[in-house]
Amino acid sequence: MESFIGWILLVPPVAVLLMPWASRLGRWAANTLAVVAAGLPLYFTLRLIPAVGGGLEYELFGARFALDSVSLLFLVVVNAVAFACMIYATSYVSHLGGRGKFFALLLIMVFGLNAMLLTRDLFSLYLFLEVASIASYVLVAFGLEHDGIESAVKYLLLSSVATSMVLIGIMLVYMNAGTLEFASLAAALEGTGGPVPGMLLLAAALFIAGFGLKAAVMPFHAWLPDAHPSAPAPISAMLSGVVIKVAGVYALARIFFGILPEIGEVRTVFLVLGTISMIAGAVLAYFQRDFKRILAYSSISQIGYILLGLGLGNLLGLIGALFHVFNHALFKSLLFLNSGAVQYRLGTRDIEQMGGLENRMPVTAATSVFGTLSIAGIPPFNGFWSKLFIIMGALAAGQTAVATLAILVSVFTLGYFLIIQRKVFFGHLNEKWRDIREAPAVMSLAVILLAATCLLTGVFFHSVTSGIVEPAAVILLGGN
Amino acid sequence: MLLWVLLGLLVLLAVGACVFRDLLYVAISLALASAVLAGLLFHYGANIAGVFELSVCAGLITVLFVSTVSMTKDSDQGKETRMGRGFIPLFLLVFIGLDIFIVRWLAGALPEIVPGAGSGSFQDIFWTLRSADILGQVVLILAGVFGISALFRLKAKEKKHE
Repeated sequence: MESFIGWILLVPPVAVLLMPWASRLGRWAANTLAVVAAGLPLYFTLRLIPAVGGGLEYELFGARFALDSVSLLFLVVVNAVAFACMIYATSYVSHLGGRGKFFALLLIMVFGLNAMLLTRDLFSLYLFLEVASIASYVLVAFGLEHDGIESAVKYLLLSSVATSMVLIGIMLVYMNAGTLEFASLAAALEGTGGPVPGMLLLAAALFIAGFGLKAAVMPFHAWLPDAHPSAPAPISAMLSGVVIKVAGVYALARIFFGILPEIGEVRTVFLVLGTISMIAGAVLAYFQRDFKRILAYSSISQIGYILLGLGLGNLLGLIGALFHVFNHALFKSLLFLNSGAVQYRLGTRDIEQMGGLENRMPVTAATSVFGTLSIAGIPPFNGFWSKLFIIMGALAAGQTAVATLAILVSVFTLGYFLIIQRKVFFGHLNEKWRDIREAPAVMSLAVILLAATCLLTGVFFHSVTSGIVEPAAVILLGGN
Repeated sequence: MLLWVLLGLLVLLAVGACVFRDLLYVAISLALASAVLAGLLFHYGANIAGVFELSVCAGLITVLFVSTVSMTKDSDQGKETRMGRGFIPLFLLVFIGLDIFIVRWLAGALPEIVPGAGSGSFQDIFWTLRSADILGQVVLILAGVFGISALFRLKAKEKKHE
């Protein structure tokens, strides 16, 4: 079973090497290779769920990788969303050209994220983060339009600042501990009850700023509202659904719950930044006209919920945060893919120019309603349960004001998403769009899969939380 | 003595990377500067840092730069601004001054590195201790290659049509 870890890591890069050859064979060969290469890691990840127990280790080419429940949860998220995006991309990429290159870069991004989740070394985590980041810069600019290239440069510059801060943080930690391996680091830095050394506090601040920038937490969010809308839809879905969580939330959780748990003040920082992001992201989303930009700002708001759950630091809060990672990945990917389908047919992202598309694009409209109900936290959709856990965690921690704000922002989220639904899919059909048709079947298949998962993981939420979320929360709290 | 030679060479090559007008020479100068810096890191016993300076900065980055230069050179490599000739060396001098100041401050402010950190032979570090990073570097090169070919795909197509 441990060998599955190796397969999860190896399948995407091997497919990348084969991609130029498959592209020469034809569109079908490239599509098949891409979907199989994205599907196999998901299959192996799902097979590992019952086997993970207290953790698994695997040596690949002499390098040690390990899997525990925290990694497993994020692996499920990465590979499930990547699989849906890859299916969608097989049709969507036709109007962009460069099919093989697009698939190769997407698979490299998936490899980088998977390897980040499976490594147990701080520097390797940084290196694999860079692998995923470099692929994502190019993918944001893949359309070769002015907006995309400008956003990619902005994303690259701000991300470089982030990774520089992370690298300096790693250097400071290494100077104090003399190792970068997670378990040895935790042991070496274990507090003696006295004050935390200044260098470690500085490292903690750099990690929060660096990974906070990657997670697009306010006030480090400036790159996201540009980069996510400009990217091709499957990449927007990957960035908002997966990358900000693995590159930001996962890294923060690993470091501050596993390596530097002694710095209790960090929880307060998470709580404050989470609350600010949750409110400000939602308010800024309300004032946008660009479909994808609304979704991008809403991602900042939802990341706020996740950070808030981490900041609460109790079991309910952590279960809520981790379950929201899982849920947000599903419904935000769904909503981004739907916005991509609308843009694919209409050629615009301006919601003021849309209207009445429900009869022209019924699958996209129906699945968008699923996404809206999930993100707004309406039962029985998955978003309801994760938000409920976060609110219960806040109440258990005595943070009544935070719990109240979380409820109010959820209602506000429902409000602005209903406005999108009305302006895009309902009301009178704009005459311009009289001849518009539903998105291609393959694109519809991907969004149906995600919409069904949003509903099913809500209805059977207990299986998800007890199967993969709660064990991860227990590990973050220091259990096994 | 060797130390001063390496330091002088490093500064010269770094200046070269800023003032050469041919991008290929800039990339080569930067790669040599990285190689010299790796030598300095080995001299100070920072073997892991040396390995990465050599493999990533002198190796990987140079491959990416040279690939990019070779793909763009004959198309639209415009004349570089003349400002570079005067302004960049001046900026470099100011930077070196600041650098010396910061390094002197850091040398006094930072704690001693934990003994034993980063020890081991090049082979041990490269092939055993940091083998996961080799996998990462290989995929990083793939990302660079596919990234460059993706961003220049229209140019390649246009050239084909001509």
